[in-house]
Amino acid sequence: MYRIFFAFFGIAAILYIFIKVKKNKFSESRSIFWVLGGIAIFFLSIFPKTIDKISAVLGINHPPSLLFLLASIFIIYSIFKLEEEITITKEQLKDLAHKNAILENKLIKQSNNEKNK
Amino acid sequence: MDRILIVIPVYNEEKNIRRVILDIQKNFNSADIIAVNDMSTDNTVKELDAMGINHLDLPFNMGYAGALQAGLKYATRNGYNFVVQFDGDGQHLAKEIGKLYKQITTNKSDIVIGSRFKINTDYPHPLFRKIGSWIFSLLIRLTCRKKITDPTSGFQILSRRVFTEYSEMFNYPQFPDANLIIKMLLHEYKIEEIPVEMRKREHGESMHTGLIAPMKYMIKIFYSILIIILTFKFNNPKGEGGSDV
Repeated sequence: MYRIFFAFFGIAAILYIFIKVKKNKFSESRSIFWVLGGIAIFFLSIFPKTIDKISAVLGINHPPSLLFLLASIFIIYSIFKLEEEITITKEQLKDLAHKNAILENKLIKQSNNEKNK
Repeated sequence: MDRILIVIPVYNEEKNIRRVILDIQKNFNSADIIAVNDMSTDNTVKELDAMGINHLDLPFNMGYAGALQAGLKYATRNGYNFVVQFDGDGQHLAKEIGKLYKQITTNKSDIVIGSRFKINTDYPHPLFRKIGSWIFSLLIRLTCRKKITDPTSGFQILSRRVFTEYSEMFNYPQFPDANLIIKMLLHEYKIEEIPVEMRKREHGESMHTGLIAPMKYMIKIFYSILIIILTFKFNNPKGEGGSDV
């Protein structure tokens, strides 16, 4: 029963991301990562034995801990990517604000000059 | 004739700005002034307009470094030869600008810093500031073999080469102090220091007050220095560079 629930959850997640991308509320390039996450959930809920097999190969005694490890890596990586985007966006925003202030200053000076003519 | 721009980052300085501007107009009137209003919430802009001072208005608060960098970009775009960084709180004295300018032109330096510590002045130094400056001085001496007595001084004159570089810098530091000096020294810019007089600020609060803020500041600067040195070593593995005394 729980397998069907999680398979459904995986599909729902993929659909949700797809709708967001379609409505231009989520960038296509960033959505790939999340769709892959959804596919992973779907795949693992249908074939839960995969985790056991991978754990056996890696020598992990308690297979669910592999699941937690993978989930942690996924989350940490996505937070790191976010921080990276924020840094770049902040720097670009600062540059734009600077340029805006300089242009505004130029515009005010020009209009003052015209008034004085 | 060199064109000099005095950049004054201001944030809520309605009580100080008039005196600062009058001081500059009286004691160093051969330079242009640009005030960078960092989204002040008081009457700073009104004061600037009333005095007819050219100013940039940032659309949101960016902090000292963000405001300063806006002024540097303005200088780059408008073809100035030198930029003087000047505080809007009345700490810096306009009569000292002439000394900085003379030093940078006669010695063809890149940066000249106005130091409070080179001679004994009556500037009141809080203990924390003193210890901080001493540690940063030591760090500069160890990494660059150069004696800078007042690395936290914001009173500096910059050559065009320097302010162009600053204005284009990605990740211009939040606190452009010892870290930036080390970076410029490692890249063989010529930095000098001359003694200047400074005044204690009369109104408003400094950005380094309390206990937690200075601690954060120290950690950030140390981290920034570490990154700068590692980046430099990584890019120049043979250990070239470093300025001589």
